[in-house]
Amino acid sequence: MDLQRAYQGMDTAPGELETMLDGVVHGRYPSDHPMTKLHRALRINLVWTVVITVGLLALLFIIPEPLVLGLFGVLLLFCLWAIVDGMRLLRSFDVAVSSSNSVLVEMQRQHDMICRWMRVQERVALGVYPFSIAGGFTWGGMAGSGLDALSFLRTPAVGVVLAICILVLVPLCYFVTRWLSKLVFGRHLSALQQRIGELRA
Amino acid sequence: MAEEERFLQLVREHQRIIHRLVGLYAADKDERKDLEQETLMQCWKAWPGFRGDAKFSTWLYRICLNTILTQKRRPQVVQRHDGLDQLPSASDDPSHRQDDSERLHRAMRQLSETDRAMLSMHLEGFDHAEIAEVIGITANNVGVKLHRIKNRLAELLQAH
Repeated sequence: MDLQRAYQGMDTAPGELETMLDGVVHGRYPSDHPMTKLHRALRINLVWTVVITVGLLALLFIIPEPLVLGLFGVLLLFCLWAIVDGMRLLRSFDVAVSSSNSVLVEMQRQHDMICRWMRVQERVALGVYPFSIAGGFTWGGMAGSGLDALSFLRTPAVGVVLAICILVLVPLCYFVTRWLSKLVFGRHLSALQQRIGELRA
Repeated sequence: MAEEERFLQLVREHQRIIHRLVGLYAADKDERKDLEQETLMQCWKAWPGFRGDAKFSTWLYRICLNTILTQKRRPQVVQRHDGLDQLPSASDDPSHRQDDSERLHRAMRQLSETDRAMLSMHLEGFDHAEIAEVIGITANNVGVKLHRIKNRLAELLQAH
């Protein structure tokens, strides 16, 4: 078999390319590339983090209790860090597929970018959840019992329940974050890793 | 506007490259359409960076492969066709040439995705140095891998 001739004979019909071209140059189609989706997810995350940060700032003026203020204050610091980190990641994000990188470099770049995004999500989960759980629990308890924070926390079993909440919910939220990231990008990451491995072999 | 026209003209001239390449990877008709659309979009985005010091076909190949191999794709159902060897061998008869193209297409789809990329470039007429530059490995490595890929292809074409 003449391989080159057989290859040239493959898929000779141009299909729908011709009709797509006009829509492409006039930006009528949305991109479905993982980098575009990741970029969009990162922007949405950032917007929500800003909204939550503004909400927390407002709460700091409303809540008179120093202990809850302290917990939400730490949470606010994590949110501010998440905003800075997210913006840094967003700036370093090149959504377009490179026309200058080799296939190997481009696959590695995208693999690293997705891993970085997943690590940011996991770190935010670990930093934010303990303080939001402790702050929310104490604030809710105060509102429900009518006690101040210290009296509420001194109530028998409350400290134990709070510790259980943190010990159960923080790892749970962390693993749910990891699981969701893997659900969305896990198979794609494995495929990228496999292709990178094949080329390096 | 002139740039847009130039882009459209070059893509039209080389559209078979995209069509053939996407056909080697897409799992079905819908995915083929999505991949072609995404590849064209990435080409258009990257177009301002095309300086013309490289061949357009090399530039196009790089973007096509970078898009296809980094795109989230549906799992491919490996189609094992019995009787590949019973198809007629190559001759100057156009219907036999079509059969050869189909046999090659089926066999190539059973190669790994990166092997498919290198073999398609080779069959498109790129030399080892050009393939090495696009793929990101050394020309020697391309030679070694292509030798292995061709052996595997021969097995696939004969053994089913």
